[in-house]
Amino acid sequence: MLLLSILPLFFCSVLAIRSDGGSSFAEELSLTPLPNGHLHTNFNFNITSSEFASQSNSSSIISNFNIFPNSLINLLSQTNTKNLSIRFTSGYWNSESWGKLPHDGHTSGGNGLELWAKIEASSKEEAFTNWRFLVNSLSGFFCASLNFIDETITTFPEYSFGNTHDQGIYLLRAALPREPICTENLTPIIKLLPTKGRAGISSLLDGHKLFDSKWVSTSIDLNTIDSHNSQEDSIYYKLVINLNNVFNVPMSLSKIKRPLPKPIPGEELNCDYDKFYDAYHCFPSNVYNEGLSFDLDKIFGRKLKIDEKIGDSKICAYVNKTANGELIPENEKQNWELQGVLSSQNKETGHLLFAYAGLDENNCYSIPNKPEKREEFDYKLELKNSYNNIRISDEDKPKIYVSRSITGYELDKGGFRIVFKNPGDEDIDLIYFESLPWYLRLYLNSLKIVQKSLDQQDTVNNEEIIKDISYVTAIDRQRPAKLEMVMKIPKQSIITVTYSFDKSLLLYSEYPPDANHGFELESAVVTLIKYQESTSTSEPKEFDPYYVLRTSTLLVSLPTPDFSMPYNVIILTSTIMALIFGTVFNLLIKRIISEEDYEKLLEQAPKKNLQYFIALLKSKVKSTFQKSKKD
Amino acid sequence: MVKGYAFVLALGLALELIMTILFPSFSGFLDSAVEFSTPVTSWRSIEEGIFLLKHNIDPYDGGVVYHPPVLIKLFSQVKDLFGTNTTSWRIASGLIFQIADILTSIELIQISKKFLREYKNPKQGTYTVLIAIFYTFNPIKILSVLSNSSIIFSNLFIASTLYSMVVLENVALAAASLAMGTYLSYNPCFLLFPFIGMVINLKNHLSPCSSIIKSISVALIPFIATFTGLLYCSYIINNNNWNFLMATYGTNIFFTKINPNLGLWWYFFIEIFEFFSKFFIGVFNIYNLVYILPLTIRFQNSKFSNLQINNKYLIFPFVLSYGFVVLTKAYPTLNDLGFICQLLLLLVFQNDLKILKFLRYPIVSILLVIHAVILSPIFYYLWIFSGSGNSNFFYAINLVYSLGLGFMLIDFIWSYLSLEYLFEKNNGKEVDYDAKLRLTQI
Repeated sequence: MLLLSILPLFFCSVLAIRSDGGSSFAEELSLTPLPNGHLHTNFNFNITSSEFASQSNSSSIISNFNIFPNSLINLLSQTNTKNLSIRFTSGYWNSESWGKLPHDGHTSGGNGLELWAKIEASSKEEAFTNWRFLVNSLSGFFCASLNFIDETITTFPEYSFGNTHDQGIYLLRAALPREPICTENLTPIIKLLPTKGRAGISSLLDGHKLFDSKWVSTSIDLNTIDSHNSQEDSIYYKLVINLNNVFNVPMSLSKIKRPLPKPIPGEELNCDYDKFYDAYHCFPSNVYNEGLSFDLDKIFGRKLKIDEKIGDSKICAYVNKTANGELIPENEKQNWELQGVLSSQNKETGHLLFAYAGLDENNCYSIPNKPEKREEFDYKLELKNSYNNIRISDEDKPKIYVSRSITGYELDKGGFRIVFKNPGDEDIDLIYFESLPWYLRLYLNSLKIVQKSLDQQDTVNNEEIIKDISYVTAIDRQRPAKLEMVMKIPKQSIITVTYSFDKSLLLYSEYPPDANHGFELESAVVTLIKYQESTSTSEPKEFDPYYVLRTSTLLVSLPTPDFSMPYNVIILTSTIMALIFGTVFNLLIKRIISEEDYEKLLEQAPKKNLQYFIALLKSKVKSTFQKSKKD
Repeated sequence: MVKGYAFVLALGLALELIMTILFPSFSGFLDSAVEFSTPVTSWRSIEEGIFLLKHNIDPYDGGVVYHPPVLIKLFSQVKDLFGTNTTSWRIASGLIFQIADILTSIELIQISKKFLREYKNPKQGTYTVLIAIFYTFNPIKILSVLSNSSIIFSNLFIASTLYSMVVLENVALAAASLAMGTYLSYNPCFLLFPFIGMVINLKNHLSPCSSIIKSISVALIPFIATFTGLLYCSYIINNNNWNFLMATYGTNIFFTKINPNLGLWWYFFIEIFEFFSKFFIGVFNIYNLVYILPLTIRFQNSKFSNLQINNKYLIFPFVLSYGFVVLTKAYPTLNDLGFICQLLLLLVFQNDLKILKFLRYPIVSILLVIHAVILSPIFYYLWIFSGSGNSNFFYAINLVYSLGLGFMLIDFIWSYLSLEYLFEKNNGKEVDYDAKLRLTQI
């Protein structure tokens, strides 16, 4: 009986290995050295489900799956979600020195958490209900505060995020800029993989190291794809997970060497000898004369495990380009080495698995398919003199630099200043997307554009730069403001866009615990586009996005009331109100007389002393007593 | 002497115009000062409305526009005349506000002149010029005009109401003006009660046996007709959508935009526990209205009202009611204070300056208001700009301002009541106003 129940499982795993039925899994780790001792690592996982008829219900779909994560599919089919993209990002990608974002920015997000999805629904309201269900479920799934996504931060992008304007498909998007990204977000992602982090490159994923880097960006893209080759209406799912990191290698290595922050011994200092230098002075240098040599397990904190392999597994090293973008000549390749070492008790005796020569023409090494036994590998990345020569080729430089900042130091109003710098020789078309919380009241009529090219500076006509604008005003506590601008940035120029806003006061209870820290604004998304050359002159023109970048998040301080005041305010305001009303009412209903008359009246009236009240009381008692007697 | 006051007004207009031309950023600076600008009256909100209309975005679907559609539409039509010439548009728009303010002043001066004429005051001409100087060179007034606040139009129509009643004695026109004032800023609708009182009083004087129902209908029908007409126009202009009602009047009633201002509302509703918020919105709205009826009723049938020389025009409850509306409304500004001072001057001249003799503590209340007016920008600066003070500073000044304005109004009531006492005591015969009076109330 036991055997019978195990048998299908075994069968399944065999299927997985053979990638039958269209489902497949591929993983790739690519290592790209960046200038100044930085290393960019990218873990890429591609999971494709087997095809199935689009009409079939979710339980039958799931029973067909073996390597594809079932839990996600359930969620997608329950909420009619076609595409789902999640981005966890923290840190700053220095594009001035590191060049373009990996994957042309398509896999990186703004600081914090970003989420968008295409949901099939009959109405906007239904789409939103599904969206709420989706984010609440994903919140538990990824251990993130996605459940804070509500109508006050959800937008419906018009041009950005690959909106296709299909009938009945709604694109919803939200971001949580204040979300801290950490190890607990990593564990659920590893669980999505068929290898579960026990074999292949995912065995290198250790949260302690991954999140101790300069820039972390994790992307999850889940797409429903129509396949046209086989039966009608058959679809399959494609899940792409990317984990991008930028490590500062010397810093990572020194943390292992010196877990406690003790001063570095003099002989280990890497000094800049061009500057003043003696026994007491040392300017730190980024130049590593001896090159850098390190084991990958020092960076990742783990060794690569190889087990019964599922799908394709590769490690790639991309340093085949010099500063001019030419391929490194064959004789210089020795400066750049990736070695695999079978680890054993004593590393010295571990035998070399492959050296640079073992890489294929794409600079990749395929992890062996069938190891003799379960092994742990150690990879050594050696960057000799070449590490100092790593520069970003012109081709790898971003075409545009965008930065956004807040102007004004007052708490009740401010402005945005967005600078687009196009150093290239061609005009760039782009879409600027921005979603702002309702407590910033935008005055878009104050939008001004200043163009600065080479030496002259002048205000340009807005129409020349902004081709189209899609603006949705904010509603207090209900909807964020959404601004999308289709722009054209002229070549070799700096375009500065400014506009102003008022900051709203919130209610006492709406302020977060540390109100004076400020409120985080999510990053603006800039999508570079190329218009399709179509014969028809129909508007709007079709376009293809080719690069996406995001500005850094901003911190805005709102005016704060005194949080210790509620009772005082209620009392003081009410007192003033009552004082004025009481006086007015008194004046209006009383009769006015002169003081002499008043004194006369006072004399006539009985004196209201104690005897008077006793007499009054007596008469009352008497009257009631007499009454009861009569009865 | 007509030339005299016209000259003063022209001088004031020229001064304001020169300031608009010479200091382009000054009006923007005033427009962002909390003392002169609130979400419901600010000029930048009108400009945003024009911008949204131009881009075919519904200005009342959220956003920052709380002005009635007709106003926005009119301004956008005017702006179209100037095309892309921003400088001339800036000056022209400033000029529109300045002219509206001058018209307000002219109307109020005409009313004062009429009062002065009836008293056969020998110093009529001098007084007219003095009034004109007070109206035009009052620094609060100059600043509020330069701030391009839309409350100026509302004030113009309230002044027109009084002008139509007193000078023209045209009830229908007055009611229509009041309706336009109401349309522009909601709060003047409370003035309907004292206005009806005024109409009844006037009709009684013109034909003593006219029925009250007739007087009320004469006042109400033009008011309702104008107001509904304007609302319907707005509905048509706003693409057959009623959502502007919530954005314009709803904001005033439900106090949805909490912004620091000189009033009593804002800090209270920030600090109040959410659970009570709705209840207190109701309380504050009632408080806004609560002075109107007592004032109207108290002075409607008093003998004094029927005996004084200018007794045809019952403007005292009207002016005082508006004073209390300004004191208790959700979005008050210093513009309102300037206008109230103008209106109170009418009361002074209606009673041939005698009302000034019976003020109990004019120095205290005036100093309180001046103290608040001077300190409020300083305390706001400390809170918002330099961070060395907190919101309580500004709130304290709000309380002082309210107290000062409240005392000023209360003082006027007391003074008026004292006059009334004297009149009743002497049955309208000649009274010695200089005699020392010691009055009290029971």
